[in-house]
Amino acid sequence: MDVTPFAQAVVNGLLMGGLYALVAVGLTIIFGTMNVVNFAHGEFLMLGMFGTYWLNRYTGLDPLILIFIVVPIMFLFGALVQRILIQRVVSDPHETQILLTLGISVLLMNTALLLWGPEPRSVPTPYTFAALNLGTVHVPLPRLIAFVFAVALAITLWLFLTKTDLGRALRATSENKDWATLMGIDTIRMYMIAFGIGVALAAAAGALMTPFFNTFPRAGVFFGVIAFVVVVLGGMGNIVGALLGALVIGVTESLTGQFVALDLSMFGVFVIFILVLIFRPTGIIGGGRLY
Amino acid sequence: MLLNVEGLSKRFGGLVAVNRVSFQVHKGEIIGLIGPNGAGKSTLVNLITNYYRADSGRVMLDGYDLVGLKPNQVAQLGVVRTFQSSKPFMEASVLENVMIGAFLRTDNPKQARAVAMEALDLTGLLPFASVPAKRLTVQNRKRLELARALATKPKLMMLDEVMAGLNPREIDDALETLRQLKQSGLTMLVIEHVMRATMNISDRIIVLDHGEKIAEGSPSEVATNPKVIEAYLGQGYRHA
Amino acid sequence: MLLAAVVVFPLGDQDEYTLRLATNIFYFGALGCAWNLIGGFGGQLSLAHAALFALGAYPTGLLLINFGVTPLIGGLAGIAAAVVGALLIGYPTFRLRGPYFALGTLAFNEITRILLLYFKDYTRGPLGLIVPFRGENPLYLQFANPEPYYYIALGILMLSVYVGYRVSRSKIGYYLMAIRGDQDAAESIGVDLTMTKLRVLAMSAALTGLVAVFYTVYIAYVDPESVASIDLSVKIVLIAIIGGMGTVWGPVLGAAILIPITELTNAWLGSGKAGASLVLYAILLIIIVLFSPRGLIIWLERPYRTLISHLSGKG
Repeated sequence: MDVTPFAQAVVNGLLMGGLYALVAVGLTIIFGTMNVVNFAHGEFLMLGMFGTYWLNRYTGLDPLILIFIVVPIMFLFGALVQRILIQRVVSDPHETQILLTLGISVLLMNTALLLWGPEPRSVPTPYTFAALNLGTVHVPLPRLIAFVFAVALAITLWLFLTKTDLGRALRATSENKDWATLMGIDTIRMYMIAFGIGVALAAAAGALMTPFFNTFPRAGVFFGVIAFVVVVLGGMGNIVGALLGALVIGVTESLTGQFVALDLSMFGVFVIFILVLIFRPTGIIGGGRLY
Repeated sequence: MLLNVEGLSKRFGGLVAVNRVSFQVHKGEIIGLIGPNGAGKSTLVNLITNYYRADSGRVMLDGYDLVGLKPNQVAQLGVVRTFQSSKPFMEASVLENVMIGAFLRTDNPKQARAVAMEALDLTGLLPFASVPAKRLTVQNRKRLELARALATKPKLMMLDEVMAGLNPREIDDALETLRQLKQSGLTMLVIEHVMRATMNISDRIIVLDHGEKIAEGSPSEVATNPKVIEAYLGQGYRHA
Repeated sequence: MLLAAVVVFPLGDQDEYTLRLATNIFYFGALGCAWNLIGGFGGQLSLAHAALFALGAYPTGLLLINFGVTPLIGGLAGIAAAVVGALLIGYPTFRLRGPYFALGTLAFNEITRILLLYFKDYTRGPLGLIVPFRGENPLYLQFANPEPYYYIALGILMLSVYVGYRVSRSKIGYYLMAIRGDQDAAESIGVDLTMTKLRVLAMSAALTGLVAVFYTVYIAYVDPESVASIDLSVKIVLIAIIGGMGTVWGPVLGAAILIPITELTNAWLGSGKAGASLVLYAILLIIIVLFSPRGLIIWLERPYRTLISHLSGKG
């Protein structure tokens, strides 16, 4: 039996999964720290894409370089959004938070639509069509590079959270907000940082995708939804869960697309989503937090 | 006998919260349920109402086993409880809150309103009828919990720390209300930390410690029971 | 409240444009009211109502186009489909709380859209259904002039408002208040959470389906992007929220404000700039959520009451 289509699908799935992981980890950090489900998460990814696109248009620099500009900017933007908008509803009932982030989502997407139009744009790079060939499996270079970068970012994040004081303070705040306040941690600042990081990760994923994924205002919706699925699968607030969940979802999507029907690739993902929501809302691995 | 709890147990992960607790409640009694913090008192109430599902044991009410039912079915059968930290329907008015309780026994809004007004009268909340619940004081929120539960015309009402946070005068008011309710035929199970109140109002007292029943009897019997004293003394607990 | 009804009734002899605008306001208002039953009164923020709308539109359209069945009958199939769909969606998702519920409904909405696109042999996929106009035929709800559509939409709106009114005053309305307030406490005093939510969702779905039937003959074009997308779900939610969720007339106000905004921005910027109106919606939503969570209608309540007492004082 020719295992190539299967192997190909798995490889594709894993590569995309790495990017999904970035987005999902961002979302789960936001939830873990301040208990807010960010319905606008995908839109920040989209802004990362557009930021990279426009910078590339004006400077000609490669996205992998531009990412170092886009990510800090998005971090600041995220922190700002948190301070001005999200902070006001942090202790409000869930409905209010959902509506606010939904509103932000609609706002960002449609502002992008208004400013830049719906046409897809691409960021050309010299290596867009290059690929490695592992046996019979075709590994597109841009996706591989993006995956490697995503892994690097994840490792950086892990180091930050475990080795730095700020990272530890963030973790303390997500464990127990009141306790953290008693220890002298400024929770509002923590929330700003957490949201900034979460959103910056999404934007980073967006930037990394520009060489092989079209940039357009509605791009965020898809990834936002995937991020939710991953986070629920892995457990809300559970970073390791998000990483593993992302790979699972990436591979599922890829396999469904390959062996069932291309149009139905998302269908498989959603079915898993619903099943997890119903039977194990704390995540497959458990350790996630229910509301 | 109204309620017969037999061998009720519940564990959460590795922790045994309630261990083979059995007791009976007779119609018209007030049973006090006491024990140090973490003894499993609230969990016991949660088990009886099926907010948590018991791992083993039975709760017999008039011949029906309550274990395994949904909480709203338990309420339907006549067992209601108030919550330790009161849970009013914040945006609704006091009257609306209590009407929701009354709707358990009727489909008619006018009737529900009438029943609710009675309950408000009994608990002294009539002047607050149109006030949104979120604007009530702690004491009044507790009264609201009580009124709402009363409106369901229960056979057994379980009150979870309804005195917590009240000053001595408010406690006396609450005790008086409970006495009146008892006179009108209501059976109650009262969880309390405020010793003075519990000793005062209960016909019988059950003592839990670490999920087990360690004593049962009249207030004076329990107060002098060495096991009870040890359970409390070990926590540096002060009698009210 | 009856007085407000009178204000709504200046039955137009306006030009076609105004009639169409009003008709749009009416049917979006009806959608908002329908959503409001479960979303506003019940506090369950469903993002699946576009799916319910699509389930109402597609059977009606398909029966009409393929078999010549009048929408008066085909519409019943549409409404039934919407209700069945709602129960299928509601049953698993209602045990979820807060954002998990919203996410679950979002997933079901997307599933519906994907399926509608996928089974293109039956549904004509992304091309959509076109209801051809073959001349005036009241039995098929085909009219040459906008007036009949205006009245039908108004009727549907009045029905939706009426249902909202009756629900808010009934036992189920009170139970919804309890569910919105605190589900645990509600259960402890006898509220059957799932049954209550399902009943209300079924009502909401039936109304949504009814509007969808109207839409099928009025707009005469049904495709997954316009009737099953999250955009529509969100738009319905916005209309209800901005107007005033959990109030009887709120969604009507919401539609009355938001739909004309769409018209104005489309006229001003050209309908190529479709995003503009949604930007305004979003800004409004954010402002409302932060500063006036009960919606814009509460700003009308006080002057309205003063007006009433003046009128009855003088009367």
